[in-house]
Amino acid sequence: MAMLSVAPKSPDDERLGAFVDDFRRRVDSTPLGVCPLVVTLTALETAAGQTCGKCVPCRDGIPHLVELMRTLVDCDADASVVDEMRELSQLVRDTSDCAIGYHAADQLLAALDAFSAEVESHLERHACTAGIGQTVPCETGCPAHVNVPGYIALVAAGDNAGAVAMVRKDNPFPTACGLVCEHPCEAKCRRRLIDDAINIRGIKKYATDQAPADHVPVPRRSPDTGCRIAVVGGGPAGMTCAYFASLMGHRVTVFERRSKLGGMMRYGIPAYRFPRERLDEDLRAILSVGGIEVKYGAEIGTEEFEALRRDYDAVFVAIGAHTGRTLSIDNIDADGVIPAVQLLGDIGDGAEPDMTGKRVVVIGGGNVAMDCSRTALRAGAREVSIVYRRRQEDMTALQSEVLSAVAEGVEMVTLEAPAAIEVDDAGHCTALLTQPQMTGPIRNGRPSPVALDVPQHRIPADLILVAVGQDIVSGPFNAAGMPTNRNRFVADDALRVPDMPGVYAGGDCQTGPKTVIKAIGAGKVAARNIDEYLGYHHTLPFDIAVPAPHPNDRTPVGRVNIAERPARERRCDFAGVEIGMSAQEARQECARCLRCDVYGIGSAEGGRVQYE
Amino acid sequence: MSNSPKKKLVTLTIDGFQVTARPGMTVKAAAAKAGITIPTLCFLRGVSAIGSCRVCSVELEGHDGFITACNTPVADGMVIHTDTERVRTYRRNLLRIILADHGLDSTAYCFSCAKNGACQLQALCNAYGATEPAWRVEQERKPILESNPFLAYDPNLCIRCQRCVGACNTQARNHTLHTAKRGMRTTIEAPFGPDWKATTCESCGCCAAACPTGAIVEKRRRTYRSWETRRVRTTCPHCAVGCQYDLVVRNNRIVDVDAAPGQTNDRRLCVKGRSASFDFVDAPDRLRTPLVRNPTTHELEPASWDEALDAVAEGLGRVKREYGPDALAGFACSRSTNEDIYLFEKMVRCAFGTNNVDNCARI
Amino acid sequence: MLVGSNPEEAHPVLGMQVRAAVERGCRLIVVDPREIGLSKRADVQLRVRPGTNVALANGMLNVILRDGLVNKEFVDERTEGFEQMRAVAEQYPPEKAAAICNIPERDLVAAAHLYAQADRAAILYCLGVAEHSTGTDGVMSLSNLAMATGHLGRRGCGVNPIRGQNNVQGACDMGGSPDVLPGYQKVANPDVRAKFSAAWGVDIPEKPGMKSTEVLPAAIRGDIHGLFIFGEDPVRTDPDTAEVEQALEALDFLVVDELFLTDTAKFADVVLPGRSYAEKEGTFTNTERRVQRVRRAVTAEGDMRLDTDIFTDVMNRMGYPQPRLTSAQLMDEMASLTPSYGGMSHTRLDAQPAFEHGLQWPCPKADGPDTPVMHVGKFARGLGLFAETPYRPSGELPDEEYPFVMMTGRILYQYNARAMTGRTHGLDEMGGESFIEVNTQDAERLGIADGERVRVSSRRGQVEVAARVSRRTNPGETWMPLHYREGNCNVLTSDFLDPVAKVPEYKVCAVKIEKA
Repeated sequence: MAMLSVAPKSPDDERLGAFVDDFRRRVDSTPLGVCPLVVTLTALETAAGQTCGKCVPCRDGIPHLVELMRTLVDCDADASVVDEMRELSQLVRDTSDCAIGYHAADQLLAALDAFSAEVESHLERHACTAGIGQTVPCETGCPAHVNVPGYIALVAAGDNAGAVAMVRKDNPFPTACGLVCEHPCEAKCRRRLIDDAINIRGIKKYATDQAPADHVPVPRRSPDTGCRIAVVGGGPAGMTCAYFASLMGHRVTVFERRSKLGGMMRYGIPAYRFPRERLDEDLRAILSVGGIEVKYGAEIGTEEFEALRRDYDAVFVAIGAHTGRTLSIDNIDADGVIPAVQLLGDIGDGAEPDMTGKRVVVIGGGNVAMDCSRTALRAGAREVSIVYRRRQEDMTALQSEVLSAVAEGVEMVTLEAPAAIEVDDAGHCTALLTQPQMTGPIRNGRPSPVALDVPQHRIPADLILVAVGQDIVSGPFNAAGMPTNRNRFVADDALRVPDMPGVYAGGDCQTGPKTVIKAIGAGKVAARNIDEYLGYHHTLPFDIAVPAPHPNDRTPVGRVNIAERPARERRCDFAGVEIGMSAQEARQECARCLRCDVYGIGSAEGGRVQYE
Repeated sequence: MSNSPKKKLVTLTIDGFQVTARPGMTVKAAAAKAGITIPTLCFLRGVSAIGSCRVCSVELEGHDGFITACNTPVADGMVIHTDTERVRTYRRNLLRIILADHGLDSTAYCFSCAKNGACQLQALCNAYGATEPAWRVEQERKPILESNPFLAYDPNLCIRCQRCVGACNTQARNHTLHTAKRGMRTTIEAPFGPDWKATTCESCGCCAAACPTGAIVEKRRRTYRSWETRRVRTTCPHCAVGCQYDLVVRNNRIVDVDAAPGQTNDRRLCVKGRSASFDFVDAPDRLRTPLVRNPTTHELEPASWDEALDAVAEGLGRVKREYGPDALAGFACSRSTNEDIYLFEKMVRCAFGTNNVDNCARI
Repeated sequence: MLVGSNPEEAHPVLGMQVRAAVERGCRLIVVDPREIGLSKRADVQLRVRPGTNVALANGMLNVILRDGLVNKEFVDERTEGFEQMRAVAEQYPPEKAAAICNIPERDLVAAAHLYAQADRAAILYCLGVAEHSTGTDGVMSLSNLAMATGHLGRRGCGVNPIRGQNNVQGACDMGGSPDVLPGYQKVANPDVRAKFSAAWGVDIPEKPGMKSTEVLPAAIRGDIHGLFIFGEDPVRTDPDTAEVEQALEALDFLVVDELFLTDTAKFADVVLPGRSYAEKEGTFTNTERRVQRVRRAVTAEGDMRLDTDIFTDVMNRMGYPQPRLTSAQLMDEMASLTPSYGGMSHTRLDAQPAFEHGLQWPCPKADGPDTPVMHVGKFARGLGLFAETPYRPSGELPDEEYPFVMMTGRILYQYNARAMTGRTHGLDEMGGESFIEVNTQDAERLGIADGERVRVSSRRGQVEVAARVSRRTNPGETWMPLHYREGNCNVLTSDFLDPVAKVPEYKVCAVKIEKA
């Protein structure tokens, strides 16, 4: 009888595990701007390397697809090669025995469709499309294209004010982004190849902690142009536009519906994540440029909008997405059922709710649901449950937000779909009835819930907060002729509203609910393009030099994460949850930066996305 | 093996025909019941059903990909199409891919192959119009392994279907022949190279019999063409297992042996049965004429049958007359046929008149 | 339980099937003095001292009795003689049996438990049981084991002899034996003699004949004067070659019907060229009692004749009127006289399903079934009879002069005296030369290296062969293949016979080994 062994059959399996982890980091950090066909080829070669060698289509077909794909990547292929690839891929897809084969073919077919423009360029122009080409990943990944290596270098050099100024060159909300940015800059950080992405947000937060934004002087405003620009909405998009437009010398009037500026940063994000005084630091700095007039309580209807078009040289519509979506279930209008945006909005205006002793149920799985539930805890709720119809890992909220909510004591009731709201005689909600779900087929990248054939559950509730998405109040603008698509404003990539010269739209109202940094990026684009529209080509002066780099330290080092106050303590108040980095931590974290602005592609022509 | 007859039969539709089948039956077998032949290449009944060539892929309604008929069990309500345009195209293209792997451009063409005319790949390619490899093949020839006295492996002709591996594992149960260089470079590690004596290979040749192409062959396969031969089913003359096989005959000479199905050996053979059961029939030192001892020279000399038989009758008759029938005896070979032994024994008892007859069962 | 059987070499396709069974989960006991290929796959390996099979079986029976593993229902309903057998078995407690067999007692006990407690268990035995001076007792003692545990008369059970040659079963079935007529109908039985006398038209002699191993000594004594040998080569294959040659010399008249001028044929007065299996029609009966067809494929060039035609001519010339019959007609005649073959004919064997699967006797009716499993429900003789089988040592045991036990056997790449395999080029590369297997310890003591030439001698002769040094044989034991003219082991073997079957003790003789 053969001896058994506890060792893996293939002795390198374990070692390979570590190697694959390393390899995965490389895949994860696939640089922006890489030709998608090259990535497709790599995936195909990986598949060819994974074939077990049993079946003909996979063992012989995929290597041949690799050869064909290589000629396409090399721009040596003609259309017949693509046809042959499609034909062979279909055969491999349909006749392979296992997923190594058919998934590879599926992936290739999907890639040929998804990257059809690139394919065509390789076939017709024998070159990649114009946009292909690598750039500094953090800078490119940031919608505002902030000079990330630059401000990290400044922090490393101890010049925190310089760092804040460096951020503000492209983004007038360094504090907001230090606290609540979803940091797309970190996604492709090259440091991932060695260990993990740099904690870019953390460094920015450190800089603004040390050098508050309103203590760092803004650049001087350019000579007054006399041009008048109306900005509708005082949120991140509107205020960014206002900031840059006024720096260019234009006169900006901001029309804000509420009593304070900040938009969702004030009326959507709770104070414990973004303390109001910190938001005010950014706003004070922006307004300190001068040339910005703010009209509070300004509700813009159809007539008002038409007036703005008449009275101003340009209009930027950035009204955000402030209406809560609702559910079509019984008694959704009952007392005690509150849209999440309404709750958070009221808090933004200073009305702190009292939920003492209440049982609160929050419906939804996004960041807003987390914000609501954690707010409810802080408002004294006896128990808070989040009801979500998918699994916890399917929630759209950042996983760190989910974990924080769980840590603070929010109960996650997953795979339960709201079915009806139970009310008492007075019409007040008493419970949420839910239908248990199972996870089902994946649609659009997420598993869809499927109702289980079992009885409903009843979750007692004194308050039900509905956080199932937000909408835009586009009606008045639509009536004035601004086109909408799925209730969002239509604008081109330059944010121009079609057939309305001088009217621009951007931010959540154009993209649907997204992130603060995307709105900031839109505001920046709007300001720049309005300047052009008005016939100017302003360049904004900036004179802070980026320190010279040290040679890269390649030693793998752990990433410094931002610590949070203990859950049992922080859940009792609305004070900020995060604890800033220490100087020591910031120093180590900054030292991990590989300075892609000078090493590698950053030193090449076209390797950076920077505006003067 | 299922011996519960209560298991419900399943009904499926194949090319529009309703077919009833036992659970566990393959789609290929069920189709055969309806008179529909699904081509296979890597499949060898009872030996290998790993579904590596995919040539038997058929369409199953409601299923994303295709299924392989050779190893997919039937299920109630299946609706299967075995002859759609797509099936035929895939089948032809799979064969063309296999042809590319077969190295049609890097090896000599079919006519120089020992299996020409008996090659399953050749036959299928013919039937499905796969006339060209799917792509150009590099002109690279790998060395042929043929140090084993009986067996040879030409990697250039190997299509890596692994039927030989199945034969070594499930027929011979010797587990000597296996795959190596995994993944896209998967090859057959045939133990016929210069170090063949150091391997555990028993040269039974089950692998060569299983090979659908000319990759693994008994070397003697090169000396004849299938269409020149006829076959005679018979029983192996070696040990008492009594393996069934066909003698392959060309021009009154046995050129090869081919194992037969059936309960006795079910297409297995050993090295003796496959390679050493026919050369002796026409060996040069075969006795071809009677010999009678010359009384003067005391040498054995060729004689006519009449002379020889007369001498036998005379010699035995004299003993019988002089010493009585019990001074005679006969030994029959326990390797000859029942009929021979029956008549031999009858001869001893009736013509010699004694019970002194025995066979070599004892020795 | 394999006893004295190395199917991987001697019956290779059966060996493949045993491997398959083991791989499917069948438990395996290997009883063999040597380490054989299947030993590696065995659950219990019993490397018994050569010639001690009976002691082993008795010891196992003792354990089965002691531990209450007897199938009482089977014994009560279907057997007789149990108490007499018990009396013998009780004399072989496991410690004593194990000592005789030179194996660990716990292995013997384990084998007994494994065999007895199996749902179904088959014993496959071969010449390692039969070719002993105690061969008959060896078989009987194994049958005792099977009957005591009820492992008979069901699929996957039985005491199954694995015949040494392709048609040993058929040759015995055909009455190619001195004491029985076709179908084991006893010569001693007057009714049987009457039936055959009527059919054949002559009186069947009453006096039982001599067995082949008795005939040659009788020739030396002058009791046998004329011999007709059909296809045998006793010079090569019988034990004690010198004595065989002496016997052949002593004959007045020797006829040999052969394919080749064998060492035996060289002694003949007349040599008749017969036909090989590929040149004739007929049947073989395999070790499973399965009758299968032999068909003519070719006719080799030359003046050879069908052996049945030769016998017919001799019969007629000696005054017995034998019509010239085809092989099919001969089978019909035989079937009409032999109940177990009564339902068989070439016609039936040429049609499906017998074309593929043959027919297993008994098959008494032309339209009736054959019999894949024997002794179902009832033994052929009615009740199964337990035998009393005390252990007796082998005829020749090692002593000071000849200190080694020598066994003989077959290798994969050759067959018997190589009349067939010796004429296939290629096999000689695989197993072209004789050798003797010697245990490593013994070789060290004698200063013999692996591959070195040694002289092996017994009381009867000596040969020179290469030594293969390994642990495949136990210390004090050696083994030689039986195939070769050069280094023929039968120069050495002894002609001690089993008292019942008169089978020689090929498997045990005493030899000495010296460096050549």
